[in-house]
Amino acid sequence: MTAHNLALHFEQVVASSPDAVALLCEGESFTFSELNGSANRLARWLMSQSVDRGAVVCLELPKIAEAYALAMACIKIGAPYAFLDPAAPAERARLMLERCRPALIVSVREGFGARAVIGDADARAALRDAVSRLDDSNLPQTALITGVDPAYVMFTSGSTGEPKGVVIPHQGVLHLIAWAKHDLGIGSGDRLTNVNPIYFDNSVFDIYAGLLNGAAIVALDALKGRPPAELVSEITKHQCTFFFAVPTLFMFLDSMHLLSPDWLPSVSRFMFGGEGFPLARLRRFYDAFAGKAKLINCYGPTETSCICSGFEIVESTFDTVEGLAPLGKLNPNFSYRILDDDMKPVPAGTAGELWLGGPGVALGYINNPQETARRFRQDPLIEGYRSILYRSGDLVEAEAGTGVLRFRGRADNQVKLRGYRVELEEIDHALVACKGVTRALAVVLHDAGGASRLLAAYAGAKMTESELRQHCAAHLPAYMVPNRFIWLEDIPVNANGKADRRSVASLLGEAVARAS
Amino acid sequence: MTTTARPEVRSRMRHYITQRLIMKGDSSPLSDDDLLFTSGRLDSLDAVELIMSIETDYGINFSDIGFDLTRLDSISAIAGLVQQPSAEPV
Repeated sequence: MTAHNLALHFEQVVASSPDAVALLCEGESFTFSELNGSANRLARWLMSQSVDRGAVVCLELPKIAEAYALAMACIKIGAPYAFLDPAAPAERARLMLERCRPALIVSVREGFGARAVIGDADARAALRDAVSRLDDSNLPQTALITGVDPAYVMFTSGSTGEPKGVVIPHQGVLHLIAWAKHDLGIGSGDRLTNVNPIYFDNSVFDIYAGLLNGAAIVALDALKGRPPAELVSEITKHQCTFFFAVPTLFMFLDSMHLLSPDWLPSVSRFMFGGEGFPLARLRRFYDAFAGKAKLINCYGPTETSCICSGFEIVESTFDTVEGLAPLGKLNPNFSYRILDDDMKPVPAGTAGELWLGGPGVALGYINNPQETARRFRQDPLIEGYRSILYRSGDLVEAEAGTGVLRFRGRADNQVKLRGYRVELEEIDHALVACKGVTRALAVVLHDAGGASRLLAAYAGAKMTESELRQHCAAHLPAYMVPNRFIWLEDIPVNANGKADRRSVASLLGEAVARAS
Repeated sequence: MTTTARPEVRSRMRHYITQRLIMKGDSSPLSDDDLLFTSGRLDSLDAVELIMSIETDYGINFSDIGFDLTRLDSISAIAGLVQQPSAEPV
């Protein structure tokens, strides 16, 4: 079964198993045929709202059935969609919407721009009623969409103080689907959890590796405000076979004695990614499921269509007990180079920056040519023809012989907090925008168990923690709001006159210990 | 033995946890024996912060208690844990 775009691939799956369950959401079950019919109607509705091939649609929605159907509708007309957090601070949402310049925003909240609001049951029913009169057959123009048409836009933190929208082509996701089928064995009969937030990169895997391989996906709310045992019971009730989440969630469930075959008997594969999984914490997880379920560590910047490598955890993984689980070998169709600061290949067995190429790499950042030019560059070792590599900023080392990559740190100030990618400069910018703050620097302190704590130092007028927290919460998502704010007479600088994040981290570590 | 009086630990923990709950929009009353994580009032993000805070403040290594969050599941439980002889305020 081959198709040159995601929509045709989806329609082939629908044709081969129309009555199989595709989506379980909000207590309802939808077959592939039903989901496809909804998507076709919504595609025609989108076109009636002036959405056409290449136009961007922003979906500011929680995990409701319409969210999944609208994503499929967008790929059918070649209109890239961007899922946005419906709870994001208004200011951050504005920045993302302005970058997207969407033809239409479908949202649960009011706001600016051409917008369809489906915030309550009545509004949802009205939309359902409006589209029910439309044709539910496949659209002829779907065949015209190519592999390099953009499929979706995924926002991630930006070092300039503004989130960046990564544009991923259809072909990138087609490779992800093929990898999931061949390497992870995902197919009809599987049920994938969609615990990852829908506006978070990891959910791309849940949706596409699931639906487009004929598997069902189960929309599950993250833990917010409800007992963790309920989430685990729901996964078991729905007989999920594949559970993908960030290590923070698995470590949390483990700490609550909920990560065991007794609680999760139906899961045959666990996958984690988005941040490193400390081997010291992984051992217990591995032992608990030995012989009963596979554990896979995956790696991939948002710019590589969600995932570019995977590594199955085996007994020998624990020959080294320090550090993080290996990233694994790159998936077929990704090329890579490991380069030093002078863009020369590093000798075998030494760490360098990972540059990634191939059809799975993003087209760039939406309406942001400067950032695109900075991160997507001509392969320095190739002259004479175009060969673009994405500069990941991740420092890695390739194991001699096997090609297995190991993470060795970052070349810049990007950190991972609970799986979310955070450019510390974005927090610096948000703090400096607070009246009275003259300079600010965010830092992350790590503990031996792999936990990370976000702190901020600032100079200027002294303010209460609560004032600063409120200011940050109005500009940044919750996971980017520092836990503590510490006033310093001035921010230390290094020999080049640049703010010295390392010495600030050491100062803050001492200040927190003193204040406790 | 620790020099920190039990009521002080409880009061610090109550203040700290109440602040986190308020940040999450949860202003329901909180007693010393109310379950924090099992109930879902605190989640995985709060767990990371609470653990690091206790590690920093009281020198407790979370790996020494087997990464067992159920031992930090109420203000009373935390107060009891940090006042074990091995835990010294730092």
